[in-house]
Amino acid sequence: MKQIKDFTDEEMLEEATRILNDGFTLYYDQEFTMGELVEYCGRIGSTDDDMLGYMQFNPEEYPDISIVSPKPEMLLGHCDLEWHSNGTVHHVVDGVWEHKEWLICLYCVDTCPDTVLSVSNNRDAFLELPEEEKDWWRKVEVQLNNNGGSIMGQYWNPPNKSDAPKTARMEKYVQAPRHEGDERMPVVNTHPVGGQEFLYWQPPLISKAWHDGKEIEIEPLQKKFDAVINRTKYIKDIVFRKGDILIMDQFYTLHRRSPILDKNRELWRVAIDYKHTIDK
Amino acid sequence: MNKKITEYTDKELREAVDVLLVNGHVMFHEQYLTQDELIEFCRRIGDTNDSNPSMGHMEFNPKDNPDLSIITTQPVGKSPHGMFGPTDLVYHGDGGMCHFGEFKELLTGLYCVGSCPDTVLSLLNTNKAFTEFSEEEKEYWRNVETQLNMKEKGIYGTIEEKNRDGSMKAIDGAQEAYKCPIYHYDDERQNVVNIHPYTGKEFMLWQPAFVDKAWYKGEPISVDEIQDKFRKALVRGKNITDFVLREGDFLICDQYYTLHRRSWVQSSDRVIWRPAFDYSNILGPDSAYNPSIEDKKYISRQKANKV
Repeated sequence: MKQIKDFTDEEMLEEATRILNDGFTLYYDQEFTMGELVEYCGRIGSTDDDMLGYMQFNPEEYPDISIVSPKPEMLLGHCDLEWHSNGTVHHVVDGVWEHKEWLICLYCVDTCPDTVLSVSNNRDAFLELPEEEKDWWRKVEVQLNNNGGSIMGQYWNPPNKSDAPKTARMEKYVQAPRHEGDERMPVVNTHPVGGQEFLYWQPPLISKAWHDGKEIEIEPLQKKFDAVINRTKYIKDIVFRKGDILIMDQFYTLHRRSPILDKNRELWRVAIDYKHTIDK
Repeated sequence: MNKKITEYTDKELREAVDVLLVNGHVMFHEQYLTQDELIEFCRRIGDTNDSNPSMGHMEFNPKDNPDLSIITTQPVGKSPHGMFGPTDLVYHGDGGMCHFGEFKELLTGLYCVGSCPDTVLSLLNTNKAFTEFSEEEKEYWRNVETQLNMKEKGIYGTIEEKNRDGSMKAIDGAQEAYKCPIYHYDDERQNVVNIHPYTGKEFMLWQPAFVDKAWYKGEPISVDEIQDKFRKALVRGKNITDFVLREGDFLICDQYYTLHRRSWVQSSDRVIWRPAFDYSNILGPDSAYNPSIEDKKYISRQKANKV
């Protein structure tokens, strides 16, 4: 099996282009150390996460990696995660995104055969709509906030922090923004690098919504989003097995995760941008 | 909206079956079928009558459409739940403990009426895996033989789950409950590497839940060791396609080329209609299947029931 860490610069550029075109790439049977993974991702773009890097789930030697595992001190616990992309509550303001982690890399160190990550391509789902529907969505705006449980699903129980052997190094942690009043963003946006329109849906984080400038109910809007995006034809379902590596664009895709049943499941997660390849 | 499969021309149907024969599976999205439409479509491909005499008379077989089995955690008839209940199911092909050529339902259809977003079906393609082996690995597996039999926990994740499942009982007044389709004795065995009767290509028959004895170049070998070799060779991301079945999805998988596992069913909304069928109406008879095996199955079931 060819090791992607051996990609030439030309292959690396092709890889970034593939991620942008397809929304994600997935490789099997890869062998990375933490150092190799950060180096590989760093060839695509900056791996310096502007929010994380100081938490108990960031290894001190490799703070650009977050360890995703059901263990109490690790990122996101064991529960299901609602559909979301890693922009979460951040808005786009005057065409500029409030966050820079446009790509998420997930590398599987150990597996849970019962845990599935579903990745939906919300760009393709939008672009294949009839023009009339596209126009309807172009007039929708939302306000995003942490509405309590953030992206945690129905099986969420707050972890017992006393079980965690390590604590966060919070000195540089940047809190996610809280949007107030009528602060809002359009749900149809243009990818800052790819240039194509996509539909931005963060189901658990919508706190207000507008259509054509008038405030509308959230629940019917959520159902409309679901009918457009939550369709198998736009979704890739993935059970991570040891050596699998997924990199997904956070504008063109969103993802959900089922609960983790095997406590040994471990992923290494790196947030990246395109600055060292197609966004130089 | 995708084209409804009930409106497929013969040419379109044949193209879909060709995809199935290449990939080991074919998936149709957003179909929204009735039970009658589903059965009618499957019958254009092959015979939907299950050769196991008890199937068709179980609580999970609708009386109007006995060729379907209903898979759900909800009550079906007098059963507390549909076929298999909520348990995880380990990797298996639906031939179960049948050896190569001993069963006729080479195709399993799974049509999704209601979804559980947390339940994943993983489909492992042994034809793809075998094709990508080195010549040395291929030769090794061509010399391996196995004997398959029902084991303690069957395809269930645990023995407790098997014992808990009350779905494998016939409806009141029917002849019998589900029986082990066949039992193999002494040195009865099959090759692990076989030729698919419709493609002529090699694939591997692995039933992790049912390997009872194993041989290499005619000599007995450790079952645990060969199971470990099977796992390392086959259970790899590159050989596996994962599916969360959503409403209107219809998956057909070839039981020679693929085996499948299912994670726990978490949502009571999940309902799947499952027809088992063959290729006989579109591709002709299965050259590997000898119908007289059904007599042997009957005899071996009687013997097994006395064991």
